[in-house]
Amino acid sequence: MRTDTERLGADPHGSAPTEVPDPASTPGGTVLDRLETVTETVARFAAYLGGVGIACLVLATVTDVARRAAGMTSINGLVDLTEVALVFVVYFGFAQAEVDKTHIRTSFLTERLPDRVRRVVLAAVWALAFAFLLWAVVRTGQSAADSFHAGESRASQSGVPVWPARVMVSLGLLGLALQSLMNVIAAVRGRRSGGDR
Amino acid sequence: GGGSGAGDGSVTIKLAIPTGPDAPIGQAAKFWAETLEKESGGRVRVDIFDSGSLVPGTETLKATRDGRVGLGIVPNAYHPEELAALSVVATPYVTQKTVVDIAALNELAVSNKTLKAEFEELGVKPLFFVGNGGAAAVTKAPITSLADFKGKRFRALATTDTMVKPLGATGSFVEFADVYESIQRGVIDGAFPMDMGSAASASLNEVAPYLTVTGQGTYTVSVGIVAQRTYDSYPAAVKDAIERTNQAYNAWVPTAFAEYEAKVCDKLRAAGAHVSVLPGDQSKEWQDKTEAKLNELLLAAAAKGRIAADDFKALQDDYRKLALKYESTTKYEDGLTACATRAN
Amino acid sequence: MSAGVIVICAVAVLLLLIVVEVPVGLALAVSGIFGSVLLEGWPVASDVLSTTPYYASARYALFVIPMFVLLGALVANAGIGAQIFTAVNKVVGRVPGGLPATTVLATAAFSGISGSSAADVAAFGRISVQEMTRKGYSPNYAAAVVAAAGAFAALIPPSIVLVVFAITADISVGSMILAGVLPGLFSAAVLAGYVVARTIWSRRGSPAEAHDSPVDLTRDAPEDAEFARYQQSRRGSLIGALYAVLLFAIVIGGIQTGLFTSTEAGAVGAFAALLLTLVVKRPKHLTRWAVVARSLKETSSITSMVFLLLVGAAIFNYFLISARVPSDVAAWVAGLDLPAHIVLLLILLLLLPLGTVLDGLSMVLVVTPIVVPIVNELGFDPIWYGILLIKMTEIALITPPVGINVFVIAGIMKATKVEQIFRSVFPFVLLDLAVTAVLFAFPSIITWLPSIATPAG
Ligand code: NA
Ligand code: NA
Repeated sequence: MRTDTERLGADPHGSAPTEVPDPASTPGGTVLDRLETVTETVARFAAYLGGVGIACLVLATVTDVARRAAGMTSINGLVDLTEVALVFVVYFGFAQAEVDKTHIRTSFLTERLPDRVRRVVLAAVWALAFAFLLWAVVRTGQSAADSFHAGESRASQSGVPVWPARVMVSLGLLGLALQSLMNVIAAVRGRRSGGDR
Repeated sequence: GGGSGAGDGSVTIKLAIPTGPDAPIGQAAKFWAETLEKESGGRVRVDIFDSGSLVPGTETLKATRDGRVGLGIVPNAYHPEELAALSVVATPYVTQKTVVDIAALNELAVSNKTLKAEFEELGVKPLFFVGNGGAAAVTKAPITSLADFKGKRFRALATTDTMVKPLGATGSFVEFADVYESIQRGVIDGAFPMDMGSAASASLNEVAPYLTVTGQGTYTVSVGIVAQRTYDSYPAAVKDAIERTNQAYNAWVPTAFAEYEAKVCDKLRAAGAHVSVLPGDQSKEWQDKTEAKLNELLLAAAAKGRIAADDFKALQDDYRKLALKYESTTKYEDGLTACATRAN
Repeated sequence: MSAGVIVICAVAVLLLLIVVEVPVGLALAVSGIFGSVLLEGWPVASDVLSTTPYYASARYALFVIPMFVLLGALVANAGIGAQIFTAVNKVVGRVPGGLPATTVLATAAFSGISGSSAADVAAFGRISVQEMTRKGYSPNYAAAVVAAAGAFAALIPPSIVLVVFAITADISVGSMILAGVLPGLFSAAVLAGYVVARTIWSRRGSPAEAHDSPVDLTRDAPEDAEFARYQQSRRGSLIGALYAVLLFAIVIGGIQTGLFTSTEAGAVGAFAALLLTLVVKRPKHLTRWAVVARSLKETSSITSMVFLLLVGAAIFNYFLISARVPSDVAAWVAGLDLPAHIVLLLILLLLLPLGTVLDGLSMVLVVTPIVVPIVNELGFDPIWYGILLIKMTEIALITPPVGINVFVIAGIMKATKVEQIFRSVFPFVLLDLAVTAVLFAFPSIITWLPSIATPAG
């Protein structure tokens, strides 16, 4: 089970993250390297957006608590808004969590395999994951479209629409699907993608 | 799928409900399932999945439509737009009696074009209705007049804000499972509207012992639905058994619900809860302040559900007429009011 | 194919995917859909896939998870972790076994402001192992202490797994959080006592080594010795301890006194941590915004990790429940005609082998829908049993072959070996089982705090 320890706050001194030299930035970078750079940049940017979303939710909730403590009314529809915003936060980070291998997994068997076998296994498994996730992207996308046409909204007086969150689900899964594809490519090329490079 | 055939004409139906087995919906599901199994001579097996264990309550409508669930019991309140016509039961100050709602809806589902169209557009067939009882305010402190609402914070349902704002109170959403804790810790002062059975099922009386009948009457209903294409796929014998089951259910409901409410009342009183009725003049004053606004709200939801204002008003008129008719014929007495008027 | 055979096939696919390095959340989703296809056909499985990712994540109660993660991330990134460590060390550092005891108690203190056990291990892993190794403990024993400390302290709220259990079992999140406090503190105290006793025992007759001396952080951070000196100064440690106490008080005190709901407590705690981050002395090379930005990005990533598990488990559980596994298991258990306590004990023991392949959160997600109906049926308190269940999943964090805490610490300290850490950690596993047995025998350790929470009125 690998967990990105740096990201879990491994260093009590709070030292700077060690910069891994990016192969794509070297002059000989291939199309695949560039593709990797692009997908990882998008994933990182999305994760930062998710982080900003989290910060907004913190501020909104604290404001609501403060208002209530001051005897004022709660912010109308905040709970509904929070639920929908939570979906955005979660799926914004889906791809980045694969780039930095935060998604929990175990390698106790695979790391004992000969390198060639391991690469074949990983390529096959991630190809399967890619196909599965693409199916999920299509199906959640369809349900987002249904939600949009039905005018689905939160079951309360706020009327917060649900379809943007359903669209976000589909996009987040697409991000994870693309990272799966990158994992296939990395396995075929004989190196690990993402943070484990 | 939700109703799977085994080739020999036998059918297994997955019945999904949002509540536990002891709530009215759970009791209704149990009666309906057992009756159908008997009426079909064992050809139909009904598996009940309670407490949203198979699919969450808010997902049951969709899951029934697409076939993951064979029969779903769906509260109108979960789908203010998709079930905007069914939400006609939320029309305030019509009836206190769930059983009247059920009788009226059974008739409206056949006779009213707007309600009929709503189910048809969803591709579902309504089989039976389940009621919860009339609205009460469940509070930590006693409520004897509208002034007692001032400054209070309530666990809110869709219409709570509109109802309590003119009284100087506020609503905020709390998950049903967290209502007890939120009242206990003083995050909210009570819940409104809340029916007697739900209040008792969550033991709210331990933290909010005052139940006040507020006069708006019934405010929600649940409907047992099956996808039309699933229903069409059943053998004729099974369809007949379902029809007989529905008839048995509707004959069973008035007495069963009265017994259920009497049991809940006993439980509440034994636990030291106080059940009372808001004085008539107070209730009237509240009605004057909010009835028009509440109806506007229902109309707005109907508009979002693409129902023409005239159609919805016609549906409301039909509902009022039928309610009046069944009010005078039913032998059922509202259990909540009965509980309040029984000697303390 | 009968439902039983289909369930076995789906579980086999799940285990296969997990051992070939597929993320556990994804493996749960794929095997759940695979099972649904066999059980109910493509259209139904396809519909499950279309909506579960949304409804499994759009729940207000789950909002507390990113809040708890952010709280811990801010504190760790601002370097407050080391200050908590030195603060604890100033108090207990001079007793025999003072360093391992420091590790345990600092981890417990950090657990009081962080939501995940692995994060606790990560926070103190390097500093603890380095210091213990320097004082003559074997690196593998030191690593084992760190891994065990994370598992023993895991119940101390805020804790993601407590929240997830409460939501899955449909019980009050606030009560569950309060229920974790005493068992968590009790476990940590027992472990601290054990490591001290063990040091005294193993150092009999060697008085020169009988006392641990205070830690010195400056050796490990020569490039920022000034900040390291500050972290271990009396002032720095005092501030670290104050922050830990303050944040714990805000979250737990807020829930206990009814100032806000458990969900809001997470947000208020994270907000307080954010304010603290802006005022505390921080490492030279990190600007305030760098600390905040890094914490937010980490939180986003870890939140997504947790939610992939939630979504995968929701899909897998849809399949299990469709196949009537929970109700069949409950009926089977009822048919065994065993005393209720024995049944509950057996279920807990069955969790141990499950923990060899699944991590704690996944276990809670998969097991709760099956076990809680049985507990309710037998008439026991699901809060009490939930704590015991989580305790068992935390023990699974330090058992081979999959023990996340051990992997995390082995990942941080390259000098250690996973296999040897597992060997060193074995006595701690037995100790934790004993602690769990005590909690089983004395339920009031669990239920007392939630029962005295501010009553109405
Ligand atoms: Na914790
Ligand atoms: Na394990």
